[in-house]
Amino acid sequence: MSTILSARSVSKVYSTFSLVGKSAPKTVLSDVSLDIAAGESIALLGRSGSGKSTLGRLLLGFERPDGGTVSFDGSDLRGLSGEAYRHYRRSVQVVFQDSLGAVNPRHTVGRIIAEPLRHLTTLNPDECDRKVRSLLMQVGLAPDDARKLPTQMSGGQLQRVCIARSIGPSPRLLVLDEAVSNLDLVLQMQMIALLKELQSTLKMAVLFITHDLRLVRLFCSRVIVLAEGRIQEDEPVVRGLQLGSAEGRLLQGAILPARPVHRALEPAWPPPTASERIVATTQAWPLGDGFGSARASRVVDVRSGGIVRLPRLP
Amino acid sequence: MTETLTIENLRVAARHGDHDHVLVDGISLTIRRGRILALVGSSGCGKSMTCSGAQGVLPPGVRVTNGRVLHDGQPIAADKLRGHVVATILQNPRSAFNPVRTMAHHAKETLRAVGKLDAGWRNRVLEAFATVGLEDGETVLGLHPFEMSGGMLQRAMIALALLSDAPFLFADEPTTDLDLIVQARILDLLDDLARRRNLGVLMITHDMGVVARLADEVAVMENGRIIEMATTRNIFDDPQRIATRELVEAHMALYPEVA
Repeated sequence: MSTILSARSVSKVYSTFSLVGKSAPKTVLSDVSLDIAAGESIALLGRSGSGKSTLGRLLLGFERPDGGTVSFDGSDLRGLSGEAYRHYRRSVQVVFQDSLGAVNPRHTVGRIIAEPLRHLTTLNPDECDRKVRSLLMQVGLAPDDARKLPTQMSGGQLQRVCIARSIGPSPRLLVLDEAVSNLDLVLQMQMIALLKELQSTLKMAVLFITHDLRLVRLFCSRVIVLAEGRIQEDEPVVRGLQLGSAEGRLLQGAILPARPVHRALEPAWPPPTASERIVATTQAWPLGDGFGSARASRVVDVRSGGIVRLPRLP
Repeated sequence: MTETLTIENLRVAARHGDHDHVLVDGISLTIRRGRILALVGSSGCGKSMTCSGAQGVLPPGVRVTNGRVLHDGQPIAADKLRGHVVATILQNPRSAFNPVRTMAHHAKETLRAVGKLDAGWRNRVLEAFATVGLEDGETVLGLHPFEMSGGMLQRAMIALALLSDAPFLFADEPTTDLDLIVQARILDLLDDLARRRNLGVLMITHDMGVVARLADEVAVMENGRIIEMATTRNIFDDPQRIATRELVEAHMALYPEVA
């Protein structure tokens, strides 16, 4: 398989500037290397602040690395210009998380989708129009939606518009930066199904940036775990995937339960019996020993009548 | 008798020219102390409007056209409800704080609103910070929102909600903007607080994983109405309505090894 994009020990340092001067530089990425081959679907997994979006921005050429290189088809991005640069722009496209923020609210959906076609392809206006209509249908919208404004669409529909815009120039790599995170679960699953279908018909590689390991298992064949700006592990996604790195295990442990967790509906403790020592309180828990709670078999919050906790002594 | 908070026959409408566009209709819910009730449904079904409508904090142009809220069976006005009986935490902690004010200022504002700002405020705030796992509370008091991470801000918002000692908590998508690791910790915290303080919680969410993690009962909304209400187990095992089944199926599809 041919490599589309490759990052070689890239690093990125951000400094913020304010009225009181320059802050201490913060290293967001250090020594990250990554190859993306044609047709691959890679998940870039990490928590907030792990550097996953910054890595995405470097691969997209929105920012330059402070160290190392990013190259497209073997040539350094910094050296690209003219047609070579346009070729790179067509080949690597992106869908962001916030669809409303990613479009011009005054432009029609048709104009939004046509924008990369106008700049990056040689289609004439008629061909452009036809292409926009077919792209809308490809993402499950109606051709007539081209006349609508972004505010007339729901969040899920607008994200479909952004997907249509991104696949317009027939990219070889699509970067999805938390592209489904703003949607509710039913829409997320529809969007994943759409992206899977587009990926197989268009034969493009996908870099799926997310913090949700559950989605990775549905959509990707390889997962890269990022923490504190470094790659922690790079694994193929198999059935029963177990991440090995410390960060990977944390992310895996944070997955919400599939089935309801038992949570007692009734108060855990029965009403008091004559032999019990009860401490009634109007205080917020925890009570200090001064309240005699350590010797109590039960502590009752009399504000509600509910039983707060029973610290039975051995 | 368990203390209850009941929303009765709530109807919320937006004024469009000379007619009402009904957003929420005929919503009745009872939240009991010590229980967590999840209000679920897809985007735009009216979950948040129900929550804001019950508290009288609807956006401009939207109003409650019918219904009332009962606290232990007695009707209660929205201004007596907010902060006193119900504390609220919201989805986006970054926009919920004033960016130019410190946490100390926010805490004092919260206490003043419920008439609890006295000489002991500092200790009470530090105690609330400790309860929600914000270490080094003295430092946190001096921080501005932009100096804090999303997880820290959400913990601070929960701490402020606790300051009022309100028996009920409305949590509107409290973890949706947080990454999964922070989300798991915040949900642990909410579960723990609900038990220890015997809070009655209305948890608004679209994520059935959150429901599975801590809800006792579930109300499912579709197009502004409640279409199904049952225990969490029954919602997962035996959903009666199509919209409920879709929610559960979309959720279970995330767990190929369980399904």
